Amino acid sequence: MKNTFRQSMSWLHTWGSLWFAWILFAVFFTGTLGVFDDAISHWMRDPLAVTAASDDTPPPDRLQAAKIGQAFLEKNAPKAEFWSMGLPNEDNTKLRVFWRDNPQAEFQNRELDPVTGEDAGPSKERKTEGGHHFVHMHFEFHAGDAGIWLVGVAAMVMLVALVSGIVVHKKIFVDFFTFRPGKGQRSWLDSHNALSVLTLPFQFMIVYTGVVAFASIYMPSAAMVRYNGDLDHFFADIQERPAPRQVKHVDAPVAPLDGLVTAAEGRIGREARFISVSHPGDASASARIFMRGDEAEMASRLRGSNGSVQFDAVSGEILDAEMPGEIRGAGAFSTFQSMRALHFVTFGGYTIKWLYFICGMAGAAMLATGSILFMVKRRKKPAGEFGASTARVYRVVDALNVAGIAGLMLASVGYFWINRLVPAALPEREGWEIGLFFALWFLTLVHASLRPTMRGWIEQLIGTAFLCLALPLINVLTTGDNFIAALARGDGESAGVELTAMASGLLCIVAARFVHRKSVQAPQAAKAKAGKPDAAVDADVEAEAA
Amino acid sequence: MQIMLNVFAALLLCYAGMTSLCLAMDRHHNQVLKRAPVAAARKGFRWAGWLLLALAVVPCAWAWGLSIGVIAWFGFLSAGALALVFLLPYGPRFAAMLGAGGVAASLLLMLIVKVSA
Repeated sequence: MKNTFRQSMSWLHTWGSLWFAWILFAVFFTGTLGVFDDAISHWMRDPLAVTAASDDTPPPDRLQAAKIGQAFLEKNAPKAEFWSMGLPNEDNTKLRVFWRDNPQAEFQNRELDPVTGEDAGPSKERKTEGGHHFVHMHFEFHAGDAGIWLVGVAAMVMLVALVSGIVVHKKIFVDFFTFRPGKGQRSWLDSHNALSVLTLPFQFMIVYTGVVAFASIYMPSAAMVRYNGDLDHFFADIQERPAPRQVKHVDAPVAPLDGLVTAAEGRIGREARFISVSHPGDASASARIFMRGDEAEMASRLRGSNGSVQFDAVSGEILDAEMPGEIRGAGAFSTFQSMRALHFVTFGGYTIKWLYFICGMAGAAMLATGSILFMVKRRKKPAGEFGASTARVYRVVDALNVAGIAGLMLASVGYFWINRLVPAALPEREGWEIGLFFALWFLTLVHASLRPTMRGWIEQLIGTAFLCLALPLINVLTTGDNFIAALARGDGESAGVELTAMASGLLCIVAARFVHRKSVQAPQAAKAKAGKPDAAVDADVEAEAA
Repeated sequence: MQIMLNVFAALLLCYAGMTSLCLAMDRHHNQVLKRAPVAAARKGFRWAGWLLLALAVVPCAWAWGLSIGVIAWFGFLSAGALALVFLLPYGPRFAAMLGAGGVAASLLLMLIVKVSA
């Protein structure tokens, strides 16, 4: 233990954060990409392969579509765990049906013609994990509950690091606007401080709300005890919705869904968007019909429903109606909903998403500068914390820095290439995408441990830059689409993905040039040093960050 | 369109407010203007800075309503400050001029929003 409170906080900040820095960098980096998961999924599904609806198509008839969907599902999945149906609208004129026969079976989906009922087969879209990959990566590393717990622990470490970081930072106000480039260790510390202090409200908010969003997993005991582990029932209760109904194992037909759509639209006064039926074919079947939201209204609020109606799917009786803008649940649940909305950016439209993107990347950069600073400091003046094996531990930290930061960026843009290069017809395609992403990331670790540290940085940054800058090229070669064509047809999502990738590529080149200059200068500077004015600065830094 | 005008107004006001608070500090005043600030200037820049930051809530509230607007405001505060801090060492005078221009531009943008509403 160290002498003063600030010294012990400094120890905690350094050693507590270091071991989690790479996990947290991955959480921040992929989570920030996940802000644009819809746009990324859109690009990855290959928008050209999906035939666009022509403008002269008459608005599809939702009632007719519901009838056709029900007939199809009754024939193909008479007894399923659930059915659901995305009703056609002016943006997507196909009727989409989904079902799963039982919890162990695979999800099924078909696209139907909403007028003739013709089965167009499973969706023509490129089967892809899309932007969800980044979202899943950032809260569970594709490792299920184990991943959720790992990220939860890392998030708590992050909160500790934020608080201890504030305590350690003596000159938080004096240095508020201070960044001194070209001064080695001092510059790394300045940028680490600036990135974290200036975005502090965001960093606290995003980590805290992230932990809260999984409260039912991290702190399940109350619901477990009170509801005997039946979380569905627990959630129905706190949302003030009817309790889930037990399967009765008594056959009963589902009432005509077009009738339920009419009833729901009449009750709420909005167009129906989505129908979901649980245990169709059983006497316990219930249906919930969700209404379309008003985009302007959704952008300016944190919580509140778009309206939905729940029916007894056999008798057609209305069990529950939730009006648009209605807020269910007591204060605690309302607070929970607001925090979730804050974390998932379900409000405010693209501007807020970009602000999240900037602040999220600042958070990732804060973690990167922190763990790089650890090594910059020790490269100059080894602290010998690990006795004889110190050099080896430093080497491991260096390699993890390269692979954890540059390597993850490379694997992330590589994932976009994998999406285009893995054959569209390959079975289990989504699994291959994820598997190859991890394989690529692992290769960057192998590369980082074989190459000298500075070469490792430069090569992986250049690799990332190349993959980013050539992304439009591989897209033209594989699908024929590119950002110029996308802009011309008004597809800002596809164009945005490629333009953002190219801008990131340019930044990687700048970063690689920077490392190159440093690695050339470093040996000369070391010789020329000794007693230069820089030494005063160094002493100051040492005192501050010790 | 309306929303973009509000977005730029908020961003510029936050940037300008941060610049003004920055100029109220001896180190940065010296960095930009090559002299130490007199007491009145220090005070003036500080007041102007807080005022501009507070004013930035207005276009945010126009764009999203007050509750979402305040969330957006926090985002603009961070974005404005980040832009300033990483611009300042490379072009101190330019960074300060941008702040001054930002005040004028943001007020103009807010005027356009009000008139066209």
